[in-house]
Amino acid sequence: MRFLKIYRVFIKQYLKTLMEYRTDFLIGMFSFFIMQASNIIFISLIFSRVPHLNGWTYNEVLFIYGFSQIPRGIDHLFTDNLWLLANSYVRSGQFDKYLLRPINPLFHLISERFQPDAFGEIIIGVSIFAYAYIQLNMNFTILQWFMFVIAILAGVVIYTSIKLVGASVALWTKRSQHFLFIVYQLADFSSYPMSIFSTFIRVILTFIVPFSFVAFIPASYFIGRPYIPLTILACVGIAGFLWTFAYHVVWKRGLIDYESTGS
Amino acid sequence: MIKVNNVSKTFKVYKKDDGLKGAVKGLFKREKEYIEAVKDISFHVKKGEIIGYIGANGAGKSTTIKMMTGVLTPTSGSIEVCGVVPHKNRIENAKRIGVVFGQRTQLWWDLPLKETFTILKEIYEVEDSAFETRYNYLIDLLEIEPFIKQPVRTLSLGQRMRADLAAAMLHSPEILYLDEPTIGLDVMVKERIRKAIKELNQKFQVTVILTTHDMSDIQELATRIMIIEKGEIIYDGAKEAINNQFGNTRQLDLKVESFDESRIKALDFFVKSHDETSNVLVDENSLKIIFDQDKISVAEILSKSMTDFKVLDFSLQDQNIEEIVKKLYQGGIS
Amino acid sequence: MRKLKRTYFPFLRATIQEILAYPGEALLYIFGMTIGMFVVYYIWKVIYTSGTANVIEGFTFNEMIVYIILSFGVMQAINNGTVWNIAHDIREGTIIMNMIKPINYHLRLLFQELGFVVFICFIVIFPFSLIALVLKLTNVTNVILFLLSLFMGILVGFLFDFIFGMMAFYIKNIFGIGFGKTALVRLLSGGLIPLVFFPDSVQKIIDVLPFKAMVFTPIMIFLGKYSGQELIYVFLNQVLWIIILIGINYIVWQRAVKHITVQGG
Repeated sequence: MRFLKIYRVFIKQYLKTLMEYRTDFLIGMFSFFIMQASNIIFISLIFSRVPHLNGWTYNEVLFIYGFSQIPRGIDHLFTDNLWLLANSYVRSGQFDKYLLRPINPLFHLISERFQPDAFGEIIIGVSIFAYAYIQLNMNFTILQWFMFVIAILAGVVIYTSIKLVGASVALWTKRSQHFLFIVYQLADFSSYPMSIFSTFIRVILTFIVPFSFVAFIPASYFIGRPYIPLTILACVGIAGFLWTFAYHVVWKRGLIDYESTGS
Repeated sequence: MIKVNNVSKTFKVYKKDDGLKGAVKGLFKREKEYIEAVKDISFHVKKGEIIGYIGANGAGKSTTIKMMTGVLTPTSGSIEVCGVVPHKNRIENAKRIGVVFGQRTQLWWDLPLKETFTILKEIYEVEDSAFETRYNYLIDLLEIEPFIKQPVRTLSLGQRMRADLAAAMLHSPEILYLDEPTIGLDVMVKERIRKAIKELNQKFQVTVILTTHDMSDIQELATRIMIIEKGEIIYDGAKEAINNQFGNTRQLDLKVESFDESRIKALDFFVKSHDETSNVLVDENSLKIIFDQDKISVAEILSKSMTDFKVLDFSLQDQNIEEIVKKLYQGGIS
Repeated sequence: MRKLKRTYFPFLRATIQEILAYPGEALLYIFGMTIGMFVVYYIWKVIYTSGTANVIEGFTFNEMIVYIILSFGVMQAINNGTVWNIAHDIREGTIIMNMIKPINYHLRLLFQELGFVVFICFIVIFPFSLIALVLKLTNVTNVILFLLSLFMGILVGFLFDFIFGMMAFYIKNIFGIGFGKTALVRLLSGGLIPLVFFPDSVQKIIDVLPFKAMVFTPIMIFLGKYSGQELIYVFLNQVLWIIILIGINYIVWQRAVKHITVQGG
């Protein structure tokens, strides 16, 4: 399809520049390693004092954490440009460009930027997940692997949708990075078992900013203590609903109401 | 080709008070102010025209262009470009237009110029053979070859503008929108770009909508002029009429040592006796004389001034858009 | 002294004005940080309520809450724009202007950062200290000593940030690595978890690093965890680090100036 062809051209260009600045890329990735490592050290230190967290063991918490970083990293890898939309594109007038080209503006915006630093998040996520998988003596069947992939993909869609809503706010307010920042902070909750949080927070994470469906809920299914029934199906459903909302309701409306800046 | 009918655009602006108190108040209640950027404008553009669209900053130029290109949705009225409603069929419209912004580039900052063209080819779905020809032609016309391998961010303003123009024309658009394309450029580069635009218009029948503050852009390129002021089009017609009335207006600034009411009056009388539309204004410690150089020459004014005053310094400039617009408001074109 | 104030105080004021120009955004940002705080809070709550002990590593639950809130506040105060300011100056080339002007670059950056510190103090630290006093979680002496130690910790953080910012000369992607640095400093300074939770061997390593002085020391003072002799020791430790870092800063800056005058920014 034409989109794939265009995307391929963008990626090719981007990888070329990347190869030129190899060290930068490695430094960036390493930096994310450190960020992840400090979180894991935190979890490890906590568990050196307690045997379990509300019934969740060390390895189970690691499993959830690793699980949460994979969709986060994948989303970060592809849709980093949404941050720039929230941050500067509207204010500088650069956003107009996306409306003047004969391709879907959102596709254009997203495909323009590829953030390989995010591989740091993905690699750590996969590693921790693998470690916990082994420690928990898990043994996925083919079906379960299939559901795992679906859950991860649903997680990516959820992340992207929520990020899209946060970034779209900039179409109205010119700059929404702080708002998006708050939304992202909420994502941190989803790396831990939800049962430790108050009801109020659980409600928010389930119904308003459904980050819980990214990691905790699907992970709980694989651990064997599904938080809600029909877990993976629910994740897919939420992902579909969120995307529809984010793209068709928020983003498209934002384009119509868009009042560009500059003279 | 382009039909703009009774188009208006109103913006909602929230007024924010200054200071901390104002900011806190702003969180609870905000005054809404409606700004009518464009009021009920109408015009039609035929294929191949080059229109100079001028007006003061904030008059509504950019808003009009943005509505024609589909970036903004009109509050009321209709726009049709080649049979397509821009804001409704943005993608369809985008295929047929090329846009160049003087203030910012549409190219990718970090990519070498050549790669930019490659990507645009894909985005606009230009066929290989057509692309070859077009690409070579544009590179030649705008003399881009020397820096084609450089990343866009390393280009000078003049180079970047030429590159933007080439990029805008790559897909053979029917309409070219140029928003202040010569701003900040030196005279040589301006000439080059103007020549290129003229050639593109003549060779390919590209309709050009040009917004600018530079009267020489208008002189060289435009066949028709539209002037917008405070959201309304106050003039829409042939360039000649404006030229005849204002094209030769110039402004002479004189720094004089001392002022003498009677001598100023005398100067004013003198100049007006040759050109009754002229004006002598006093501004701090300088005199501004606005006159039509067809009716009275600079030399005549200067010699009279130097006789009557001790002239410390002087400078001569072309009439600017703001003055012309002001005059239009007051007098209209005969 | 007055001249010092007159020259550099405007930078402090400028930062505050920038923040107040968009108060909505500043508050959103603070709110965002608060959310992060809650994640940590809930984890500790579970630990304290499900566990058997009321005191873990010398912290009661209330003390832990104080620690969480203060660590977030202090992390904000010590960790903000200096690195980005420097990186920006280097990238844009404006760092050269800073060498030409008769203004000390260090002091200028410091005062800019202090503007943000003042903001955090008024919004977070002072109000919280008052609340803590009312709730008898601390006493006036401790708060005063805390503020003194906090100021020194901020200096340590600033001096470290400056050295780190100088790396922008050699590394293009300072933005990326800045995230990692923040995370690492947060971990090693006690911003994420009180340092006493680390295994002893690791604590010994942390003790010879400057990071402890930035967050852990001031907060422990606030909680009154140090006896007279220990108090003197930690204060001296902070002073020592300030001196050491000033020394390193001096060397690094001299080298940077040489680098610029030879290479041209």
